[in-house]
Amino acid sequence: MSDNLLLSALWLIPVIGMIAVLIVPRSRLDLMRWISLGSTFAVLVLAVVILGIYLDRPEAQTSLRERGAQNALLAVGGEGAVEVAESKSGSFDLMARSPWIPFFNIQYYIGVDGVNLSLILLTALIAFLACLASWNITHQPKGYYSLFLLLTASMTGVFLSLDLILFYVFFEVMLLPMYFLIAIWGGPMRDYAAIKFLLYTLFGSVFILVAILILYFYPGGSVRGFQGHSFDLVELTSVVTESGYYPRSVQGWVFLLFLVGFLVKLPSFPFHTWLPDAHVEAPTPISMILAGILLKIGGYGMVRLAWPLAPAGAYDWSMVVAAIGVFSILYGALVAMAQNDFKKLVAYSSVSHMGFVTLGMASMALFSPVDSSRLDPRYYAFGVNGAMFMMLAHGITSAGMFFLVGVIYDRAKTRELDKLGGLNNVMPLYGSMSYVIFFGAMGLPGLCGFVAEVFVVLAAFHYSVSLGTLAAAAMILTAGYILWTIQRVFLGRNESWKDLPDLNAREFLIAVPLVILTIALGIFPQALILNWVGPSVDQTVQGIVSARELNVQPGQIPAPRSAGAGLPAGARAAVAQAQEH
Amino acid sequence: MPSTPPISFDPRDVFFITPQVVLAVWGLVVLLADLALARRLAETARRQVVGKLALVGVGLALAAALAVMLVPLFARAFPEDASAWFRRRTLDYLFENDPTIFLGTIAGDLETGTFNLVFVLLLGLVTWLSLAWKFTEEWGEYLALLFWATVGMMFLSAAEEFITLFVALETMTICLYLATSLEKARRRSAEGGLKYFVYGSVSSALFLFGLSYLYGITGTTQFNAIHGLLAGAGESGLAGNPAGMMAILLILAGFGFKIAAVPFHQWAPDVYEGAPAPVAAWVATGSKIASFVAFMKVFANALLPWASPGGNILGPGWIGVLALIAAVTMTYGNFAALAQRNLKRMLAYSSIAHSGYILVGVAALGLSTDGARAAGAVLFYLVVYSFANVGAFAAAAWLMRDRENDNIDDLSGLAREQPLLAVCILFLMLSLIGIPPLAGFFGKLYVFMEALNQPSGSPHAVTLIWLVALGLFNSVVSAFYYVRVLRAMFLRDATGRRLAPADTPVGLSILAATAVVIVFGPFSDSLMSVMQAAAAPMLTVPATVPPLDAPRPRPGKVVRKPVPRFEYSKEEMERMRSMANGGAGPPGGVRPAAKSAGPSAKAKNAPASKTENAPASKANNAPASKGALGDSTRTPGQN
Repeated sequence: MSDNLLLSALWLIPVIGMIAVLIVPRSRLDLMRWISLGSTFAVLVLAVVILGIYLDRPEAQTSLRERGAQNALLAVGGEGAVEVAESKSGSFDLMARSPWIPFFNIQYYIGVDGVNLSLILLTALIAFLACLASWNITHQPKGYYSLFLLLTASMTGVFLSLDLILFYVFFEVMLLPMYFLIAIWGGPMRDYAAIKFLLYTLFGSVFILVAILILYFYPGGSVRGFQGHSFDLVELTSVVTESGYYPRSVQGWVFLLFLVGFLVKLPSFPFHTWLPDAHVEAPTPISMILAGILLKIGGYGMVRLAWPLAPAGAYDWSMVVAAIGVFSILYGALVAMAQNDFKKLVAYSSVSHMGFVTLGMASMALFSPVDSSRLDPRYYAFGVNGAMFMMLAHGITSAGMFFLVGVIYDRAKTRELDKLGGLNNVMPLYGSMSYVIFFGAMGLPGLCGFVAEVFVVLAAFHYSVSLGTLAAAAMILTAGYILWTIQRVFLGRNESWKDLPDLNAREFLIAVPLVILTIALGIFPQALILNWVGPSVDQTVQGIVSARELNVQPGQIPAPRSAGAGLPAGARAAVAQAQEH
Repeated sequence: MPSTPPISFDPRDVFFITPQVVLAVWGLVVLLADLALARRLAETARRQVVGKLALVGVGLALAAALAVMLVPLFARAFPEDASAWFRRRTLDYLFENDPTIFLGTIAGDLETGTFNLVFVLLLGLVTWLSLAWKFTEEWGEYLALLFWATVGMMFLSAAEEFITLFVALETMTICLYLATSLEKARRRSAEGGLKYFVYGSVSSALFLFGLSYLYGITGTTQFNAIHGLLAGAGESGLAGNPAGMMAILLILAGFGFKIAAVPFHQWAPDVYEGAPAPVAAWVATGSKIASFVAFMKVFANALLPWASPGGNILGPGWIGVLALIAAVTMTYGNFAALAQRNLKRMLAYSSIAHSGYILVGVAALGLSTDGARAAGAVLFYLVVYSFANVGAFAAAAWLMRDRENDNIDDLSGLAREQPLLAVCILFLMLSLIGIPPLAGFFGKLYVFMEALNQPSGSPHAVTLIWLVALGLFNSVVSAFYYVRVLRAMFLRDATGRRLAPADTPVGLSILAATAVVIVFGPFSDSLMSVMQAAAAPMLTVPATVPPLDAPRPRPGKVVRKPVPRFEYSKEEMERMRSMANGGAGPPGGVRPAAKSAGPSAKAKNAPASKTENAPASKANNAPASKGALGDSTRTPGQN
C-alpha cells in the first residue's frame, strides 16, 4: 500500500460511504446509520494508524520540505507530461503527489506532519462522535447522512492538501453540505442562517483565492530556479523562507487577504456574526462539527498558509492582528455573558476561545527578552504551540458543550437558561460530565483549556504587556460566564424538570471520550500532543522567523516594533546567518 | 520568400463544409416533410415525427462533422493506409497545409471542426428539448430555423474575413429573430422577437458601418491582412485616427449586442423570457459561442495591433474600452439578476454577467503573450457555460410544460418529487456560481488566471488584477440568486400543480449537461487541451505551417493516371507578382491567377499573413521552396 492510497483513503472512505448511503433503499434507515458510522469509524482507525506510522518512522517525521524533495515530480518528455518519482518506493514518508492539471502546474499533493495530523485525528474523532449523535435524525436520513459524509470527506481533504488549489477545492466543497445540513435539518430560522453562512464563507474564500493567485503570478524574477507559477505549498513556503522572491509589500497584501479569509472562517471579531446564527439553527451533530472542526480550518489556514506564506506581512501587521485577537476574546466573553440562549452562549464562547488562536499566532515576539538584539523565537513558539493546542482543546470541549446542550434540548425542548435549572439533581451523570467539559473550556488547571491559555498568554505577555494582561484578564470573564451558566442550569431546584431521564448509553458513549480527553490533555499535554506536534510547529516557526529576517532589510525599513536600537543589528546578523547556510 | 500564389476556387473545399451543407439541406427536408406529410397527423404525433426526423438530421450532421475532423487526421496519422483508401489527388488535398478554404474566406482546418462538433452537440440537445411540449404550431419551420441558425453559427465561427462574417452573423440572427417569436399563443414571445429584431438590426447596421470604415482604412476585409497592415503602422495605434476609433467603437457596439454586453444588453431579458425555452437556450449558448469566437477572431487577430499600442490602459487602443465594458457588464448583470423572480429572466441577467467574465478573458487575450492559452481558457469557459445553461433552460422548459409558468418559485418541492434531476440542477447551478470541483469553477479559474498571467512589468497588470478581483466579488454576489433556485428546490414544499416526471427530452438535456459539468471539472485538462488546440489556428497571425509531404504510394499497389497540372515559368511568376502588387498584367496571361488574386492583392502589405503563405505551400509541397522557385520544371505533388 502506498502513501497515496493510505492518505487518500482518509477522504475517499467517506465518499465511498456517501455513495453507499445513496444506493441504500430509502426505507433502510438503520443501514444508512451503520454505513455512516462505519465509514467515520474507519476514518478514525485509519487516522490512528497513520499516527502510529508517523511516530514510528523517522523518515515520516522529517520536515515537509525534505519529504517534498524526495517525492519530486520529474518532468519527462514534453510539456505537460509529468511523471512522479518517489525516491524510496514503499517507504511510508506519508506524502504523495501526482500531477492533476499540468497546464497550470496544479498537483494532487497530499501529506501530513504534526500540525495537520493532529487536526485530522480531531476531525475523525469528532465526525465519529457526531455521527453517533445523529441517531435521532429521522427526517430525510438519506440526504442527511450522505451530506454528512461528504462534509467529513471535504474536511479531511482540506487538512491533507499541500497544493493550494487542492486546498481551495476542498475548502469550497465543504460549503455545500454545510449549507444544506443547516438549511434542511436546522431550526426555525434555518434559511437565514444557512444563506448567511454560505455568503460569508464564500466571500472569505474569494480573499483566499486572490492571495493564492498573487502568490502564483507574482513576477519576482528567478530565485534558484523558482520563477513563480506554483501552487505547491511546500515549495512556496521554502521559497518565502529562504529568499526575497516575494517582497515585503506583496507579502503584506497576501497576508491581509489570507487573514480576512481565515478570520471569517475562524471566526474573529468583525466577521463573526454568522456563527451564532449558524449554531443556533444547526442540529446538534452539525453544531458539534461546526464548532469542533470547521472553525479549526480557519486556524489551520493561519498556521499553514497565512503566516508561513507571508511572514514579513504577518510581522508588519502582528500588532493589529493581536489586538483583534484580544478584542475577540473580550468581546466574545462579554457577549456570551449576556446570552439567555444556551447554544448562543456556547457559540460566543467559541468566538472568545478562537481569539486565543489569533493572539497566539500574532504574538510575534522574536527577540530574546534579555538581549534584544538576539533572535530568540522561543516565546513565539510558545504562542504558536498554544494556538495549536487551543484548537485541539477547543475542538474537544466545544464539541462536548454543543453535544450537552443538544442533550438537554432534546429532553426539555428549550435552551433558555432562565427556564433550566436544578438539572444536577435530576441528571447526575449528565451533570458530572458537563462539569468536566465546561471547566475544561473555562481553563481550569489540570484540564485541557488551561494548557493552551497559559501558552498563549505567556507569549502574548512577552509580546506586549498590555495585550497579555487583557488576555489574562479575560479568563475572569470566561470563568464568570461559565460558572454562572453552571449555576443557572445545574444548581438549585426546579420542579418542572424532575422527570427528565439521565444520559442513555449512546449519549454516555459520546460524552465519555470527550471527558477523558479533556482530562488527559490537561494532565499529559507534553506526552500526548506536544511531543509530536511540537517539532512540526517549531519548523514552521523557524521558517517564519528566518523569512521575516530576510525581508525586513536592515537600514531600509525600520522595524515596526520600537524595541531599541539593537534591532537592525540583530536583523543584519540574522541575514548574515541565513546567507551562510 | 513567399511567392504570390495562384488562388483558385477549389471545389474540393466543399468537403470541409459538409456539416453546414447537411444541416442546410436537412432543414429544407424537415420543412417539406412537415408541410407535405406530417400536417395530417395529430398534434403530438406530428411533433414527434418531425422532431425525430430533425434528430436524424442532427445525427447526420454529427457524422459529417466527425468525418471532416477525423478523415484528415486519419490520413495524416496513417499515411500508408490512407494511400490505399484515397485517390492521389484527394490525398494531396488532405495533406495540404492551407488552413483556409474558399479563397481564404473560411477556416477549414481540423481545429475549426471542433466548434462544429460543439454546435452540433448543443443543437442536438436543443432540438430534443424542443420536443418536450407544444409551444408552436409550425414545427417544420421552427426546426428548420434552428438548423439554419446553426449553419450561420458554424460559418460565423469559421469566418476569416469580414464579409463572410457579416453574412454568417445575419444568417444566424435572422433565424433566431423568427424562432423567438414562434410561440404565437403568448404575447411575450412576439414582443421578445420584435425587440430582438429591432435591436439586432440596428446593431448589425452599426457593425456594417464600422466595417466600412475599417475597409476604407485598410482596403481589405481579410483578418490576417488587416492585422498585417495595422501591425506595420507603428506604435501610434488609434491616436489621431478618428476613422479607426469610429470603426472600433461601431464594431464593438455590433458585437456587444450579440453577446449581450452592457450597455447593449437591453434586449436579452425580454428575449430570454419571451422566447420558448429551447430557443432561449439556443440564443444563450450557440449564438453566444459563435459570436464570441468571431469576436476573438476580429479583436485578437485582425485588430490586435490596436489593442494597446501605447502600453497604457487608457492609451489609444480598445483594451481600455473592453476592460470597462467587462467590469460594467458583470457587475450590472449580477446585481440585476438579484431582483429577478422569473427563472429565464434570471438566467438572462446571469448570462449577461457571464459575458462580463468572458470579456475579462478576451481582454487578457488582447494583452497575452500566449494567445492560444488565453483563447483556450475563454473557449473552455464558453463550452462549459453553454452546457450548464442548456440544462438550466431544460428545467425552465419543464416548468413551462407542467406549470405553465417559469418562475423560480415554481421549482418548489422539486427535490421531493424528482430527487435525481433536482440534484442535477443543483450541480448546474453550482457550476454557474463557480464552486469547485465543477467545471464552471475551472472555467473561471482559467480565465482569471490567464488575465493575471501578464509578463512582469506589464502596465496592464494592475487593471487586470482589479478586473479579476471584481470578477471574484461578483461570483459571490451571483451565489445569492443561484442559491435561490436551490432553496426553492430543496427547502420549499411544492405549491401549485405537481410536476409530471420529466420525459426524455427534458431529462436527457439536464443529465447530459450535468455530466459535462461534472466530468470536465476534475478532468478539465482534457477539454482544455482540445480548446487550446482549437484556439491556436483561430489566432494565427504569421501562418507558418510546416510543410508536410504526402506519402508516396506503395509501388505496384495503386495505379492511377497522372494528374494534369499547370506549371509556371519564371516569367509567368514575375508577371503574376507584379499583378498582385497592383501592376497591370497582360490579360489572360495566367490562367488561374487572373481573377482570384483579389484577396491576396488586398493583402499585399501583410508580409507574413496566412493567405499568402499558406497557399504557397499548397502549390509547393516540396520542402525546398526557395530553391524550387526558379526551377521551372518542378512538378508539385506529382509522383
